[in-house]
This record gives sequence, structure tokens and C-alpha cells, in this order.
Amino acid sequence: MKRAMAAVVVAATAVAGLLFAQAPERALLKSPQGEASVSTLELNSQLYLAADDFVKAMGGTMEPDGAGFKVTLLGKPGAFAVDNQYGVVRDELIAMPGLPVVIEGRAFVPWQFFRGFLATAGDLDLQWDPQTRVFTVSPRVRQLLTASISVIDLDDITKVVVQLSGKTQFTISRRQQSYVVKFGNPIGSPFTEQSYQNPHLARAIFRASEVEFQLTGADVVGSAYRLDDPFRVVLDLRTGAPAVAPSTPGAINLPQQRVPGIRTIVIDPGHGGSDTGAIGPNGTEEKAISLALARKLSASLSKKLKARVVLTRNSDEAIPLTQRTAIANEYQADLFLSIHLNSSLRKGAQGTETYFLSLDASDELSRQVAERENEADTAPSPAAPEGDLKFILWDLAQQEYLKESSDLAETIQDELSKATNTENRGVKQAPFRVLIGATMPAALVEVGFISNPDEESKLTSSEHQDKLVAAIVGAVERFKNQYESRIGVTPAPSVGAPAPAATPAPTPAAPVTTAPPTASTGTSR
Amino acid sequence: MTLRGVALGALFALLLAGCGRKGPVQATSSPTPPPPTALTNKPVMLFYEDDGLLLAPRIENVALPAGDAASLRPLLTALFAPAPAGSDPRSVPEGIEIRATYLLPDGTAIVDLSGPLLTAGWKTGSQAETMLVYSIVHTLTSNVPAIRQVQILVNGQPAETLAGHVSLERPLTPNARFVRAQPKQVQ
Repeated sequence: MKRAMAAVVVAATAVAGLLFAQAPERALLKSPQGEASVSTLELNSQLYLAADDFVKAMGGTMEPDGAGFKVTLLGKPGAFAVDNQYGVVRDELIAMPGLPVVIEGRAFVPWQFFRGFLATAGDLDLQWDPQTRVFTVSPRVRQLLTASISVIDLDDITKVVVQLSGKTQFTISRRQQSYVVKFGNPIGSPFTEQSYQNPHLARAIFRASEVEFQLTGADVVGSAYRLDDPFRVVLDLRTGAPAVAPSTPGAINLPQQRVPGIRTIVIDPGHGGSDTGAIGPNGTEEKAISLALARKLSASLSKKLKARVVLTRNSDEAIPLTQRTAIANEYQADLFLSIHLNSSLRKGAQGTETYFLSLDASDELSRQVAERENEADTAPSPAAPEGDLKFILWDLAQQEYLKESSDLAETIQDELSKATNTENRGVKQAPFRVLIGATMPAALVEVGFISNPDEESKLTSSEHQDKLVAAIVGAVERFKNQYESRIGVTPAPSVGAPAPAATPAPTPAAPVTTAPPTASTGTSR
Repeated sequence: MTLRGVALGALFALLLAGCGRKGPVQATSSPTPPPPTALTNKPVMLFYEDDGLLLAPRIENVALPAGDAASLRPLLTALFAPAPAGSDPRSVPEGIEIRATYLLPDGTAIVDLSGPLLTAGWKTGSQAETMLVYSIVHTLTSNVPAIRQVQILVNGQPAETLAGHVSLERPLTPNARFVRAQPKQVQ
């Protein structure tokens, strides 16, 4: 019904708009393909281009598709529709100042659609000169982007984060003992050359539109991925046996587990052993229910998502909080979920809630790091406790994933509230110890209040547990799809060949893998 | 930061040195000064979990000595005290004792807790733990403007958590997400 009403409104708008339309006029299009005449139209003070003329002149194709048209230009697919002010090119939306219209069987679109199309698909610019009535296609003048670099040392991993002031294309290649990140835009660098006292990174050197990271040894290998908002390229460096020779010269060899997307999930059943967690009024122990839920989750996730799932514990044993995230990091997990049951002194407390790491804590830590770095410039700081510094770095690691963790928590909470007939207590942030140090999106789920007799009874029932599991699995699936789309699995930062199968490093907790090994792919994350 | 590190290091050393003794540690530098004799009844905000599972301030009169550092213990004693007859029960667990309180020059309040509940291992969920931790943080920071953050210790030692959830390894700052905006009850 809504859709039908929208169509009526759109049609009315289009008709009303036509009252202000002038007759089509001709304009000249100059492009690398040559010169061609194209029809234009002025509608509601906006200049429209006849899509068929433009596409033909640029050597592309166009065909009707439902309420709109599919367009292929420069080998890239795109589309627009008469009821939508956004066109799409690949997975990028192109905003238009007006709705496309169809007049006498011909589609006219605001000319800005094609400007966006060429910029996205071909790094070309489209300019319009109203005096001469000439459209000109030319190589795009690339904007200068400013860069900053953070280097975070996390035990066996060095995270190198290159943050840019805007989005750009990039590639990463290996040159003997260095990685070179080449950007599609010129880069305003924070320095020309900088040395690091780091186990994996020796030096960073900026040149025009690239930065070279010189490594400390030939055995340092890397994996890379992209984060948005703000735009960042993250390079994880570690020492390891060099992978097989790349099939493409200059490609990064990626450890197999660091392939794109959500492939390895670590589930953490809260508490265990002498730490029972909360105890319900009828004696139900949190540690038992969290383990039961984790086992069910593991089976379901590995079956439905074909993910490798690792439990931090698969029996009634005590695992230190620090070790739980360490297990996730050790397995290079793509997602960390801690499962808990809640308890309150308020007997009527009920419902579900999901946590991710407190941003406030991380902000404060960032400030402390900056403060410490400033101090280090002038004098050594012997009083700075190493453990404290390590915490700061671990938190910064999780800060890299705060947006993703927030999205994950929102998605889980949304699915839980839909699936269970309980109070939705929302998404919250707190400095939960088990989330500190996770180098991947991480959340802690409180699936109900064991302190409430009614909820305690529900939480012990297999049927309710299945509902909870189905909701969380559905949420992980949704998050996986959104996340993988956002990090750009296909346009990966490198063209690395798949690495040989890697065996997860053993951990003291002997975590349990409940799914087949990670599938091998040739793309990078 | 370095100043805080030095101060905390000195404090932990003092606390550890006193571990073999019974009762609160008598630190010789920058601890709470001896309670002065003159006490003044002042209205203060004590933060408790309400029915909506958020912290809500209750305004009560508490006899406070002069000086910020000296106010910490009476504020916490009032927070952990049983509710006055006829008023809402207080959502703080029983079995928590105040071992010592300190105020560092950088605005970090040190609260050293003890008691059977924490020593035996508090078996509870994140809600109860979060509410207790932040009731302490908000009660202190709301009533003593000099306090910027609160470091909670257990039995004189840095503690990972009280019940397996909220990290106590660093000082905590107020978290508005856990607090209801308006006082629920004024006595």
C-alpha cells in the first residue's frame, strides 16, 4: 500500500514537473570516445541528460528493468529508477537533485547521475559548460587526502593503521622486505620517513601517493583490511613462516585465517568452574546455562554460516577473563561473543540486553596514550607501569572495532527482542573486562535475568534456549552480510594468493573447534 | 599520568606493606586525614538502582567532616547503610565493608573494599555489579567535585572485577548511561 501511494506521489510529481519542462535541446559530449550529440532537458531548474544518448556515446549499454533501467558503462554495472532519487553504481549510491523521468519512451536523468557513475566506475570527471552547451569527460582531478599513521604493538601482532581524510582506492604489494600501500589519491603525509622500535615494523616512508612499510625481517608477514568512517587501511604484521610464493608478483601472502569476512567466531560461555556466575532463586547456575547456549550456538553457527566456531570453554572449567579474548586473538577470530545471564537485586528485573566496550573508556585511554607519547618526547617515563600501557594498547585495538561492535550489538539486540517475548533493555556500553583486548568486533549478550524466577524457568527450557540461539544466529548472519559488504570483500586491498592451511596456535585453554577448518579463499580482508 | 602512576605505585606499596596487619592501613602520605571532630549535616546524593534498573539519586542528609578526602568514607558508609525505616529498600548488597579511602592529588579517589561478599566471590550478574560499581562512582563524583575518577581495590589489592564483568583495573569515570536524570525521592 505504501509503495502504491509512493508511486502515485512520484507520478504526480513527475507530471507537475513536466509543466516546467522545456523541450529537449541538443548539447555536445566530448569524451575519450570522441564527440557526440546528446539530448538534454531542463526540468524544475535541473539539467537532465537523455540516458540513451549518453550511454551510447560512451560505448555502454542500457536496458529497461522494472521501474528503471540497467546501465553498463566502462564495464561497470549501474541502475536508476523513476521513483528513486538515488542511482547505484556497483555498490555506491549516487545522489541526484531530481527524480529521473521518462518522456515519450526516453529516460532522462539529472546529469549528475552520470558524473557520479564515471567517477565511481572509471575515475573520470564529467563537466558541464552551460555557455557552450558542452559536456566534457576527462580524467578526474584527484583530491589530496591527509594521512595519519598509528602503530600499535600487541604482543605478537603489530597493527599499523593508516587513516585517511577520505575514501580512496588502494592496493598493497610486497617488495622483498616491505609492504607498499598505493593509494588512488595523492596523500598529504604526516612525515616523510619515520623509524619505529617495533618487533615487526622498522620504518615508514611516504612518497606522493604511497607509503612503504619496511619490515624488520623477511619472516614478517601481513594481513590487511579496510575500515570505513573514518576510512582506514589496517595492516596486521606478525612473524611467521613465509607462505607459498605468491602467484601474482608483489602480492601479500595472507595467513589463511585472515581471509575476508566473518569466518571464525569465538563463543565465550560466561563464568565456569568455581565461578558459578549468578545463581537463580531456584538454584540455576549461570555457568551451566551459558555453556548450554554456547554449545547450541556453536552447532547452529557452524551449520548455517559454515563458520569455524571456537568455544573458550566446553566444560565446567574456570577460564581467566584475559584468556578468553586471548583465545579469540590467537585464532584470529572475526567475531567474539560472550554469553551471559543477568542478575539484579531488583526481583522484577527482566529482559535482554547487549553490551559492547565503553567508548568513554577508550577515549580516555587515547588521551592517556597521547599524553604518554608527549612525555616520551621529552624524558623517559620510568614510572609508567607496563601493564597499564598494555591495557591502553589492548583497548585501542578494540577501539578499531567499536563501530562494528556497536553494529553487532544492535543487530543481536534487535533479533533477540523480536524473537523473545521479553523486555528489550537495549544496547549498552561498559568497560567489561572480557571485551578488553579483543582485536575483532566483540559483544557481550545478556540473554535474560536468572534472578527473576519466571525468566530463570524460561532460561532452563530447551525450547526457549533454541529461540535465543536462533535469534543470535540470525543476528550474526545479518551482521556478517552487512559487515562483509561494508569492508568490501571483493575489492580487496591486495591480490594475494591463498595461503596454505594454517593450524591454529594451541592455547592453554585448549578451546574447542566445532566446525570444519576455515574455507580457503584467494581474497584478502 | 606519570604522577598518577607514581602515586598509585606508592599507595599500592603502602597497602601491600599493611596486608599482614588487621584493620585499615595507616598510610603516611596522602591518605584520608584523621576525621575531624566537627561534622556538618549536608544534603548529598546517594545513587541506587531503581525499578527501571538505572541508578537514581536520593538526596539525604549526611554528617560530613570538612575536607574532600575526609568525606569519602562517610559518603560510602551512608551509601551502604540499610534504608531508613519506611523508605524504599536500597539496592546495594549486604556484606561490603570499607577498608580505606584515599584521594590522590589528580582527583582519583581510591576506594578499598572488603567484606565477606567480595572475599568469597560475588555470584551475580552484570546488572547488579554494574549498579554497585557505578553507585560508588557517581556518589563520590557527584558530591565531591574534586573527584574525577574512582579506583576500586579489594582487600588492598588491585582487582580485576567484583563479579566477573566490570573491569576495575583502571579508574572509572561517571557513566551517564546508567543514571536516571532526576532524583526519584527526596527525604
